[in-house]
This record gives sequence, C-alpha cells and structure tokens, in this order.
Amino acid sequence: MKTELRRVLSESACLDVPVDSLSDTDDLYAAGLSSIGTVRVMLAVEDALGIEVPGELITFELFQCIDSLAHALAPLVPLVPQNSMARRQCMDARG
Amino acid sequence: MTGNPTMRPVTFGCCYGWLHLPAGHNATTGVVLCSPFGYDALCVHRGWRDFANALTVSGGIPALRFDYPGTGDSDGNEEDPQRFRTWIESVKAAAQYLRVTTGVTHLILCGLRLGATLAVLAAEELGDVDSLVLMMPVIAGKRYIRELGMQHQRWLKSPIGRESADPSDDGHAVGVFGFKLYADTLEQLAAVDLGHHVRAPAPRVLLHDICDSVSMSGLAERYRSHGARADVQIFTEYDKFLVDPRLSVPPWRAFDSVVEWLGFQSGMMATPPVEILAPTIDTRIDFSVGQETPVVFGDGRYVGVFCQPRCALKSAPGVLLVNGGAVHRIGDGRLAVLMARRLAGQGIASLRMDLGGLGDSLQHENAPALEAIYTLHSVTDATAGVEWLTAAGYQEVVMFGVCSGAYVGIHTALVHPRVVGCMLVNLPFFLWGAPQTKRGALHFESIRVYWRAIRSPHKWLRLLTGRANGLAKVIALARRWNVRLTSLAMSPFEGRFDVNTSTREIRRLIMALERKGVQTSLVYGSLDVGRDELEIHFGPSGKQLENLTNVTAKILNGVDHALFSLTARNVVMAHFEEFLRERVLDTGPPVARPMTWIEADKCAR
Repeated sequence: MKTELRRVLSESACLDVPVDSLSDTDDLYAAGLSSIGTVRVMLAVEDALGIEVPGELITFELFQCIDSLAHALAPLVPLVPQNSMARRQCMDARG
Repeated sequence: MTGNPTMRPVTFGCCYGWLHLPAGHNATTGVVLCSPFGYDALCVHRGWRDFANALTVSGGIPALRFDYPGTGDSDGNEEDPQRFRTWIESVKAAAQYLRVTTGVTHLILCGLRLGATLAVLAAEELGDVDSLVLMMPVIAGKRYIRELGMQHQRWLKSPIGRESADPSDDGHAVGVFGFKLYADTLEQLAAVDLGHHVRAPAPRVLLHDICDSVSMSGLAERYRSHGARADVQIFTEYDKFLVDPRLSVPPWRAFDSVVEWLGFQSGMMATPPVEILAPTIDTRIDFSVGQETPVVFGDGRYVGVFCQPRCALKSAPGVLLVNGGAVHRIGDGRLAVLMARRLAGQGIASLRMDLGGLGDSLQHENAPALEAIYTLHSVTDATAGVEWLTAAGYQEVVMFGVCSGAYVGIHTALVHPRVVGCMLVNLPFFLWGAPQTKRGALHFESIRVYWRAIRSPHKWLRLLTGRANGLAKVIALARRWNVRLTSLAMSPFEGRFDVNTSTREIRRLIMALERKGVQTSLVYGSLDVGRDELEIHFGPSGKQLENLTNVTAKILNGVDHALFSLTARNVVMAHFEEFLRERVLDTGPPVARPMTWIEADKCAR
C-alpha cells in the first residue's frame, strides 16, 4: 500500500523533494504538497487503488504524511495483488 | 500611441474582455485565450493578463482574453441555464470578434483547465482553428466535477467552512471557493470526454501536462492518429500558478514554451510594459436594471468598471469597491459584480476598481510585492477611484471592502473629504503590522476556533503527536492576549500620560472617523480572525464602540472570511444595503432619472 502511495505521490503530487527522500512520517505539506496537489493525489489514489474516497475522509490531516494516508485508506482497499496495481502508470490527476 | 503594446477593454455580445495588440500590428495570426472557470480564473487572472501581453510582444500577434457569460465582468450569472453551451458559443464569438476587429486570418485558441476543454469543443465546431494550446485540459468532465467536489469537501472540513456552509449544499450544484456549476451545466459537462472524440480539433495541438500521464499521452496519440501534429510538454509550475491569487506565480517557463512552440522567439521572462487604452464609445454591458462601462483613469494607470443604474436614486452617493487580497476587481465569489448590479437595482451607482499592480491595472514602479501595494500605495490608488467618482458627478462616496479591501476602505475614508461612509467586512487589522502574505507562513485562526479545537480529542491527538504546530499557535495566542491585557491595563492612563500603545493608536483612528462624521460599519463573521483584533481593542463584540454615533460593529453568523459561501455574500450585501438606507441615504423612493450614458462615456475616456 505504501509503495503504491509513494508511486502516486511521485507522479502526481509535484513535491519540492523526491518522494524517496521522505520517511513515512515526514510532513507532505512541508515537502511542498499544495492544496490543489492533494486533490490530484486523491484522484490518482482512487484510480490506482480502485476505490472512491468518501467525503468525510478528505481532510487536511489525511494528507499530512504517508502514514496518515495509508492508515485512513487501508480499510477502503480491497485485497488486490500489489503487482496488478504496480502495472498502472501515472494515473490521471486531472479532469 | 507609444511604441508599447496596448490593451483595451472590449465587449462583444454579453462578454467583457481585453484586446491586447502589439505595437505596429500587421499580424495575420491572432490568439484567443480561454480562461479557466471559477476560483481557478481568480488565481490566474494577473498571470493570464501578463501572458496575453507577452504574446503580443514575443509573437507580435493580437491576443483576446475574456470572461465567459455569467462569469467575471460579463453579463449574467453562473446559475443561469445552459451555461456550458453558452460558454462554447462565447469562445466562437470571441474568435469571430478577433478576426473582424484585427483582420487576422489564422487563429490560435489557448485554454487553461476548463478553458482548454471549451477551446477544443469550440474548435471542433469552428473547423478552421489553426493551432490549439491546451494547458492541463479537463479531459473527462466527470472527473473535473469530482475534483471540484473534493476541494469543496476539504473546505467544509475547516472550522469556518463548517460554520458558513450553504444550506443549499445539497448536491444540485458543485463548486468551490465561491463559484459553482449548476445542474444543466453539470449534466453537459459530465458527458464530455475528449478521449473519445473522433477527430482532431486543429492541425496542431500542444498539450501541457503536469506529468507524463496516460490520459494526456493517449489524447495526443489520438489526435496524431487523426492527422494532427500533437506534442506534450510538462507543466512543472502548475501548482504555483493555480493557488490563492496572493501567492500565484506566473508560470513563465510554461508560457515561454508555448511561445516557442507557436514559432515565436521565446525568452519573455519579464513582464513587458503595456499601455492601457480607454474603451471605445460603444463598449458596455447592458443588463435589466443598468449598464456597465469599463473605465481607465489616473493617466491610464487604473482600470475599473462603472455600474450605472437605469433608474438612479436622487443624490445617492457613488460606491467604490476595491480589491481584497490579490483578487481582481470582481472579488471573491464575484461579490463586487453581484453587489454592483444589486445596488444598480436600487438606483445606486458604483465603481469597482483594481488598485495598482492588481487585476488589470498597471504595476507601480519597481513592481512592489503585495504587502507594499497595500502599505505604500493602496490609499493613493483608492483615492484616484474616489476622485473619478467625484468627477463623474457623485459628490459623496461610500467605500466597501473585504479583508485587506476593508483596510483600504477605512484609511481612504479617513483621508478623503468626499468619503462619507464605509463598510469594512472582516477587517483583519486596523494598522498593517507583520507581513501577511509570505508563502508557507502559518495561518492563524481566531481565538474562538482554537477554543473549539480544545474540546476536540482529535485535535489534542494531532498536537501531542507533533502534527500540529502547537507552539507557534500558543505563541500567537499569547501575543494577542498580551496586547489585550496591555490595552486593558494602560487604557486608564492613556488620556493622562503620553502612553503609546497600539490600542491608543487604533482608538485615535476610530475617533478620527467619528469626528469626521464618516458612517463606519465594521462587520465580522463570528469566527473571523479580525474579530479578535476588534475585541482586543474594543471589548467583546466591539462593545466600547456603542458610545459612538458614527461607528458601529456587528458580528454576523455564517459569514466566512472571504465570503466564499453564497449565504455569506447575500447576508453581507443585504447588510450593506441596510447600512446605506439607514446611515447614508436620504430616504425616499427612487426617482427616475435619464441615464447619463454620454457623461459616463466622457468620464471613461
């Protein structure tokens, strides 16, 4: 899950630093995640994981770090083989 | 005419726009810029203007940018029916206007976000567009709607968003930060999927993407398969462009790459000088209760829109609406436009203007940052607006402003003899102190918001796990309490000794307004951070102001800081009308008076 999240972040978050340089608890906002970037990330996460994130989960805190994303999204994710997700390339984060 | 490129306000159909012309125009190609929708359009307004200007300089070609019907300064409202269809038609009308006005025979459409989508749809219908530039186009309408919904959900999660959520947030409209798309537009937009269109909209297409995405490269491939040349470029500066207008940075690398792709010499990194020309005499927007005319004044420095009622109220003052933050003259949620047209319905004229360096007005010398625009120039700029209204025949002027616009309002009211009233909404501070617009600076909420947070176990968890900058917030709150306590402790001595505190200075300012007889209404949302400032200096809900005759304070529930909520905008507009009726106007029914269009046009020139 976190591997997939890292891939999505690297392709759609437009952070100021490489995602690889961040730990799971590093502040994504401090790393340059913008408000509009969070929406892009969420749409990309929905595509990558095949889920729809309910409105009540979409908070400032959700995007605080990779851990917070993984923790909140884990209950929504069906048991899908990781390699099938990994095949997906940069998912759309735009309309 | 100088050797500089020019920009002139124009109208066509019910659209308001700007025609940018190069010096010595003999181009055969022209470009129509299709702006994004809603809050995105606010974010990019100044950068989009500079891009149009750069195209005239680099490419030597005319550029037309405009507001879609129901948006910006154009006629109509976003909730009017058939918006999506009307917007496509407006792009086609803009293309026609550009061809007829400038004589160009080759056409480029360049759009950003939803504007790029509209450009594609218009180009498909026109059939003779030479080049298309699509910057982060909305490829699938459903996805864009979901994106807007997510942004709105995030805002609703904020304390102020919760407090001021519209009761009408029932799913019939989707939008964010004061702009919405309504049912029939949503239906039409949801049906859009550019990835399934069966032909290329133009022989040459440039796509800008934030990363090398499957959908964008797929779209490019599709266009190629239909015989077009389609290129994809990466738009790395996107996130720094589509942000709060205070922080938005024009993406010069992306603009430069567009210029180069179009075959012109790139390298226009600096904003070239431009001369703002007055509109031609037939430039206006008519609506049921009035007429709007673009105006250029202050030796061509400032830009505004004069809204004149069809049936004027005798002896009514003119209202001056100024920018808040870095949002151009239409205001957040298009408040200034809605307000102006609503006032026109009651016989009151208004001018909504851009201060120097904001919106479409010229930049000050040395291009000061936003802080300096407000601290050094804003009152002088607003004074030019007051003078313009006075010259147009309004002997008295009332100022209206939100946030930093309220700061401009109170200080202009203090210094200009013609200003007889001002309504100041969510005034963040009476005197400009620390920098307010630094990128990455912590945003502090009102004391009431933190007080509520104290009762939330979730917030405590964030604080204790180090995910909330608790120390910075405690320091900020301590500073506020320190000022309040100092104010309380020193107030008995202020009159007797020459003790200078910020409260004393602010009280002097308020007393100066009181003595000048300026009808002053301070209005705050119940959770607004400006309310803290009011209460620090004037007690709970500004109680100490009750002794004054001309200055009042009012706390309104459900009003967010920038008036993103429609309910908030309606509450504030109604409150302003009541203020004008009760505190400023001579009461009496509207008197029919022929509209002095010619006089207005003279003034505009």
